[in-house]
Amino acid sequence: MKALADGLKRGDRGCIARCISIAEDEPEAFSKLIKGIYDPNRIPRVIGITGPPGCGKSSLIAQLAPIIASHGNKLGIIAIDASSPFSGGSFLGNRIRMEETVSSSNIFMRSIATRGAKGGLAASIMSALITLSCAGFDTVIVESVGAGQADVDILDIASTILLVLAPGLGDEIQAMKAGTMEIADIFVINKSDLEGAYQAKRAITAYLSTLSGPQSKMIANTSCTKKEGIKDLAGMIEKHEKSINTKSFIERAFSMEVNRIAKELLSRRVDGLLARNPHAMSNMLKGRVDPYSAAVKLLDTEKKHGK
Amino acid sequence: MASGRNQKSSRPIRVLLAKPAIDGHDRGVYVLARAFRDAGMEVIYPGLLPTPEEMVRIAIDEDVDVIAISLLNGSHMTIFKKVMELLKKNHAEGIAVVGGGIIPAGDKPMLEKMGVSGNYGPGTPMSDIIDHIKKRARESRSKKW
Amino acid sequence: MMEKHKSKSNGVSFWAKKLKLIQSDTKHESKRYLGWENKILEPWEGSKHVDGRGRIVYTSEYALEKDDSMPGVYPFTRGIYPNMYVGKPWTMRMFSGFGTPEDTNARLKYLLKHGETGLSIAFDEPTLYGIDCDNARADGEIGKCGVNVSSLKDMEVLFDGIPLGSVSTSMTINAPAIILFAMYIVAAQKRGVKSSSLAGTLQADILKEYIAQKEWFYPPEAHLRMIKDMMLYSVKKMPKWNFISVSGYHIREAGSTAVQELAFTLADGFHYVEMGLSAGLKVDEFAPRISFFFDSSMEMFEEIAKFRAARRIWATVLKEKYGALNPKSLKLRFHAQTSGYTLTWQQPLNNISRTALEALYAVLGGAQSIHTNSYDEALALPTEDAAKVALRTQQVIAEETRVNDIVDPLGGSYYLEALTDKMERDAYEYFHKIDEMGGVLEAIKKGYLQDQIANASYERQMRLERGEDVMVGVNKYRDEKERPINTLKISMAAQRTQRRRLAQVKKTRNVAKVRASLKRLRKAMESKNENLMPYVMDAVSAYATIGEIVKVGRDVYGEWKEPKII
Repeated sequence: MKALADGLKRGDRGCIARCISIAEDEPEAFSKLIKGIYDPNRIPRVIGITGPPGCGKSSLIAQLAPIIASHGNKLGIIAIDASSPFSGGSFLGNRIRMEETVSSSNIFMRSIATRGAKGGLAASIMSALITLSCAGFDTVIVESVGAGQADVDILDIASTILLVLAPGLGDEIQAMKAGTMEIADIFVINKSDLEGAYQAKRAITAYLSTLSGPQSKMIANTSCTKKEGIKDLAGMIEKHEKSINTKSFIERAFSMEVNRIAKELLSRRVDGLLARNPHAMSNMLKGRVDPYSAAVKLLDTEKKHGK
Repeated sequence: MASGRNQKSSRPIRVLLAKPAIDGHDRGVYVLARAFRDAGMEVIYPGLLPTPEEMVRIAIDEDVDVIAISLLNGSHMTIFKKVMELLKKNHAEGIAVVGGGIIPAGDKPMLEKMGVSGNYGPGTPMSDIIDHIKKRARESRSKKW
Repeated sequence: MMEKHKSKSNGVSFWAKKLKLIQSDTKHESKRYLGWENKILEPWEGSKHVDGRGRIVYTSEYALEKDDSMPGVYPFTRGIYPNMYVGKPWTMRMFSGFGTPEDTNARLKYLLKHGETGLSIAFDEPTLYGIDCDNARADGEIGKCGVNVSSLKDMEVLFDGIPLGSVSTSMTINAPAIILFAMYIVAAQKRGVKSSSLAGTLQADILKEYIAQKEWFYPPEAHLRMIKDMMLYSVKKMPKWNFISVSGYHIREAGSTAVQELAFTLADGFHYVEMGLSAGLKVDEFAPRISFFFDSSMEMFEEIAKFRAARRIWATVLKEKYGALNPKSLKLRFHAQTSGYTLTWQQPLNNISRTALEALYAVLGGAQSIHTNSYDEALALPTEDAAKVALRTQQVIAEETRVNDIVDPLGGSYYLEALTDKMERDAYEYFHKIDEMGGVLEAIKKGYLQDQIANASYERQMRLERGEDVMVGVNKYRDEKERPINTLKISMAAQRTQRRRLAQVKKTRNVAKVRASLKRLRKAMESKNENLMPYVMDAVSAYATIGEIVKVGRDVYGEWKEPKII
């Protein structure tokens, strides 16, 4: 454990990688591991990237990453993919390709499966961010599952959210209005070299005009094949980061994380109680008590144990 | 096919599935990817034509248990060798390497000696490959954890 | 199938109308058949063995109401020539290439000596991915899957002593097509053979690369522009040249069903037709130069029906949708190759029978040229002996079986005719679906076609695993001990020879000339309408390498990443 913690502090890739795995699998071990090296004031800022399949999120990240990681900034990239509800397996195909020279030095990328979490992220995402912070990473790009309206958990962790769209996805934009559109700070019309980019921009502008109150939302045009508009997009991200209070984001993210962990621990405790008190369920099923009373009684058992 | 979860922990097996040769015939890797996923594994697929250098870096960053390499075009001796050397150089010998594709029988002992196991040809039942990957993942984990 | 709006008139697309028409053709159950099934088949004790497999016998009611045409007559279902192989057998065109250009040159001469009638060149993967042999990325791959060509010098050696003015040459060159095509023309010109007398075919179909074989340099639009330029160049200057062979082979080998192969390939073909039209050509100017390349796989009737349906669909659509009048535009000519996927490394001699059968299906389906795989190709590139057996297999079919004596001998088979109709219907369903998605290019970008193929291939694999589909020697009748056979070994000497030659070329060429030609090429690429052919010919003449030329293209067009399909 000590060697692992030291390696993490040094920024050793293998150690970072192992720590993220531990964070995914053994939260308690992870908590011990980061004791002493974890500094809550050094949490990286998170740029969230979401958008429908086929809009070119990965290619965009591949070109955005070297810009953000210039001047010695260490950049983490976490790509989330859905786990199969049937087998628990997952196909993680969002690895991005970059020039070897850039990527090997100060960019670290990791694919994480949702393992049952809804909302477009994985339960271990905050722990992964903490791990990266321990290794001295300043910024992390998080690419969420990108499956539309359920994909809003990114709000809880990202200070800037990019919603990536592409021309010809007009129907998708229509469908999205209800959910995902609201969360975006920057709308990115990727593949802007293709026909229909203008129409896409107009659709977004029209949407923005329906919103009330002052708007700070921005629209970027990018083309990964032509390598255009990426620098401007990076500039917009900086602009947005400066316009907000990142500290309050981090505080919020942390309180949500504590909330999540507490709930999970409680839920495990309840599972344990149920396993230890089979009669609680059988009484209810035999019609002796109603479900509500059975649950209250079950929790009372724990209180007694606690004393 | 049984679940890909390892008995020791609930962590799904993580496998990097790659086809590093300059060759786009990806029918086989897509079939494998689905089968591995359906066996409960987390399959990291780096896209077409990763270099051995990229593969090893990805394997380390992703903390995989196994690298599964498919090669069809006769470049296995060169590429497997490079991957094994790079793993060693990066102190990642703990990651198991499993091979498959079109590999002449005569080359198999040499690959085994290098540390590349399996070396399955076309027509191998998927369950054999999956069982073998599970076995190698267990070994790889006992070294790492 | 390029753009949605083009195929529409009065709001309903050609494909929607056609599909509706064809669906209304669906035959009703024959009373005669139903009576037989009830009274004869079902009481029979063997009937329990056929449960769930559909109809086991066909009657005249299911066939021939719709198309009772003759060979050489529209819609050419029975063949594009009235006399088919009675006049002249198909061209025996053996795909070959390995090692250095010298190695392949010797193999080509060997095959010509043993009765091969057309050349077909396979290039290695570094060449097809635009990577020069001196690039470290090419380590261990040079000459392994075909012949390596990095500069014009290699092309000159490859065809040394082969009469380019009289043979016909087919080249499988997809992504680098424009470069290798230019090299071929320039190599011929340097030997005094005019480009107008060159005959051959380019397998330059980039759409199927995005769909199946996954070899490309740039985004689809850039490659399509190069195909358009090759089309315009050969239509104007090379009367005997087929600028594109639209290929289903790779789609099938990537795991598609026969119907998907048929539908996706023809959809690609229609895309190229529309490309020619939008380039300002008249359909009858270029359509006769489009040829096809299909797989011939193991399931006999499905394969033969596929070839027949392909001819009927092509003729119908070219006539009805694109207004072609020249009969040559309506005739779908195709090359067939026996299936590589069906070859097994287990008990490899069994592959000789598989290949013989598949070649026979291609003959019964009316192929214009055929390649037969060698029995050792599940293991490596073929040895000379194995390649000879493969060629002899075709000669046995052509000269011993007498299938050549009768044109379309299976025409009129109730089952085959019904199956031909069914495959046609299923293909139109795909055409309609693809059109609804905005055309074949859009369907590719969305990953729809790739996904369809991956699903089909996964299902096939699962059927094999469950033993529902059989591969002899693989999941049934296995041998415990396999006796190894001799295979071709490509030594690392090829790599050394190629690298030495390229170093020599780089030392002796005029660097200023190379740079200037690449600069001009770049400018032409940046322009919208300049035909790139002369610029590429100019660059290869100066001995610019494939890698150098591709780099210019990458700078201008960027790269392309495949959509995620799992």
